[in-house]
Amino acid sequence: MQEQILEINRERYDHKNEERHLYKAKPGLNEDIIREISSSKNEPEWMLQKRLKCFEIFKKLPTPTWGPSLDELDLNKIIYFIRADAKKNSKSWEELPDDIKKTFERLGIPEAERKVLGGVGAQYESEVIYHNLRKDLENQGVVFLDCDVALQQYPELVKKYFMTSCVSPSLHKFAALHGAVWSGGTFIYVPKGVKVITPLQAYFRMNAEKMGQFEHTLIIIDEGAECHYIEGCSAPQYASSSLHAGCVEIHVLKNARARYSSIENWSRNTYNLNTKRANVDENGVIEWINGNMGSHVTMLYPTSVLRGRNAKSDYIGIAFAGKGQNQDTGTKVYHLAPNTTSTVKAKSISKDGGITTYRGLLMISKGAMNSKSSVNCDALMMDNISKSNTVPYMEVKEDKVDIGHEATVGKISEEQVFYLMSRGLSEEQATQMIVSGFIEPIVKQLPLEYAVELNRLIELEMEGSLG
Amino acid sequence: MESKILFSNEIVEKISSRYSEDSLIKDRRLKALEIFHQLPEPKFRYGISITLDISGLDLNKINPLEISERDTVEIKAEKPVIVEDIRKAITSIPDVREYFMKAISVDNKIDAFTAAFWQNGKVVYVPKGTVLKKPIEIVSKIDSGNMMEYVLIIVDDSSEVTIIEDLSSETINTSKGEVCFSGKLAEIVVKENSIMHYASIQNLGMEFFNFVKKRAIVGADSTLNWLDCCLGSRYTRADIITRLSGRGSSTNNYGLFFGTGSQQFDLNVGTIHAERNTVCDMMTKGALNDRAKAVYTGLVKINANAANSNGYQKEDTLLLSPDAEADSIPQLEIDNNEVKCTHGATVGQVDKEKLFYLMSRGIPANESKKILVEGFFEPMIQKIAVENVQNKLREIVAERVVIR
Repeated sequence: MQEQILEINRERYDHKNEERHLYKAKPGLNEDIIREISSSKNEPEWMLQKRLKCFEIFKKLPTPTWGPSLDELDLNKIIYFIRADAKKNSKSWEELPDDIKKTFERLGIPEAERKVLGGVGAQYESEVIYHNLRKDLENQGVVFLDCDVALQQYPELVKKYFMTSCVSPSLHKFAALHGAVWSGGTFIYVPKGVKVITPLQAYFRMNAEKMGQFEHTLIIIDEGAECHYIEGCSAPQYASSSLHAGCVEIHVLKNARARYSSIENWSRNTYNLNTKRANVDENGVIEWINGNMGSHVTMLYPTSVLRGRNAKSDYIGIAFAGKGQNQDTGTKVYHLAPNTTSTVKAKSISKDGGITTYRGLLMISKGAMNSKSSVNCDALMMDNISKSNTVPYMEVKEDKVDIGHEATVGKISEEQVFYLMSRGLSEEQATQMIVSGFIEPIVKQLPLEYAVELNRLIELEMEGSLG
Repeated sequence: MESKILFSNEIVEKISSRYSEDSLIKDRRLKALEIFHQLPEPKFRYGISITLDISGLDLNKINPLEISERDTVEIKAEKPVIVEDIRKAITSIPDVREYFMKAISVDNKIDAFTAAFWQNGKVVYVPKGTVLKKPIEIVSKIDSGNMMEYVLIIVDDSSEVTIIEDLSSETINTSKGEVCFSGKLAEIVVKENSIMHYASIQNLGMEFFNFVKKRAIVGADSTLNWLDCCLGSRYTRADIITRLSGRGSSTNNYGLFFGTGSQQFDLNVGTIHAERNTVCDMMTKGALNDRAKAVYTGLVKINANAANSNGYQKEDTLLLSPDAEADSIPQLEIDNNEVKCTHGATVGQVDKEKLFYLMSRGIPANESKKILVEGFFEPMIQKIAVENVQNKLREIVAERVVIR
């Protein structure tokens, strides 16, 4: 019964299309592939040099050993670049090949676009195949493009912000790898004072086996502007591992506000080694909403660098680890300026031997006086073979601060289950209701269709969890 | 070059024969020395930006053969508690043979150094069914340079004892900012159905680099109550881990630290729940003044077989000066879901509202702050039910609360 439900559950993600591509790199990575990627995109020389420099750094940096084991990830077997057989950056879904169109329809993207979104980008394998922005937003000067296209159209902005002050290639091995082979992704520029109320969304889909996807998301919210950006990710299940090493850079300028939501639902053999980081200037606000459901191993720690006075970071995260999954997530906040505030709410559920870890860093640098931070982590363990770890680092170099950290780990309270059952619910319904209540504070922050999807995902994953 | 000659097996042989040690002791020393040579230089770095400064400490300058043979550890205990030099006890008390260097695994270079070259070795053995009102006192007063010691405490079934440990130093005539090294290894075994209270107060002089490693094994239905007070020394590494290895065992692990000047504390406190129905309550409170710095690493580990266990961990740090620095890494590792486990950590200043209240009652700002800091520590001080120890701690705290 349980097997069957899990099948149905993943069906819309697991459907694979026949692989049709215009170009597919050989597995493994070398300088020629990097030059090939760069020249096929007709990139300026400085970007090629940047890629090659990143590759040098990648070769030098060690694989991190402090988290989940990455021993089974063979970087020489990954295919670093695939160009799908489809027109790039179509403005209409009708221009896409049928199978690809169907894939995205199954994921509900075109429908959501019609209803609630201000703009949509869709990436298939290494490149973006659909991109559209509502006219009214375009008229206000909002730029929402495939990152490859942005490099051609706005080289100055990209040169200034691409892997410079936010994510440095030497941050870690996979950031360097990303810099060497990045392709596709999203570029958003919201001009001064423009408030984008309807969210912009991108969906990243890996279809081919042993694929590596390295989309780059660069978001610049200019002074006083606002934007909400949503990212969804998925891939079908294959026998061999695939790799996702994306990079998100968000620049929140003075008085600006950015909200970044993402639900990552990679297949259960994907290594999701993602880098997300935001620089927040004076009075700026960054909000992270982060859901990690899929993948085999996730190592993801969205980072806020609060470098302007009164800057603020809110992080809400949920991680779900089922059988064979290791969700190592959390957030890093650097308080570098006075009066900066951060809140962290992290929840995790582990089940069927899954491992969830909250790994976080809170750093208050000297001079960041009157900074406030509150960190809350709650972990729910559904059974006895699962694991849950909490590893929060707090580094405080300033005395005029107020910092609190709290974490709890436990199972579903028997009393709560008993109460609900006494009101006529079955044990299974009661458990589901409690789990839904546990994730409720996070779900309600999500856009509606994601909230529904998350609820359904968790509901289905929980089904059959009781004998 | 010099270090290779200095730390040879020969030195261990010499120390061992000087005290006519049992071959078991000598073997453990040699093993530790082997590990010492294998291990890399210790790094005092954690996380992103936490670094501790141990410059000035150079193990290569310590000649184990030149350390004073004088016994610096004095233990006062009523009968029937047995206090004995370990070299004798290892043959006369079978448990000593069994538990010697059992709980401690030598896993860093400095502890390996101590394990290879310690001079004073003491055993406190509490026989079955001993209930003592009067505390057992372990007083170490270091009066010359470097010191390394080993202590094994065994509390046999159905006993209840209180141990007060006092580690301090005479002012040592150190010319040109010379530094001293103090290494201490302690193993505590609480067998079944027993209670042990263990309070230790470290108030060494500022010339000391102090490295303490304590490992405890707690048996079924037993309780071990710690109160570990780190007050003195230029640099302290206190590494205290309790293993709840018997069903229904529990530990209350309380800690207190107060740093002034440029003192550094590197505190590592942990509990391993290795059996069912085990409970731990860990609570550390500290205050840092001037340029003092503290790193707190806490761990509650609940093994897969330890169902129905509860873990609680809390650390509060008060920063009394703009140059003080507090880092904490409270960790949880939970492998069983039939448990309750929470942890928390706070870092902040003296509560402004409370301060305002006291000042509104006519108490000057500095005095008010002092009262609040004393009040902050008071609940910890009351954990140890020995009045003169409480008073001593209050005195030390009051002495240090000089708000600048």
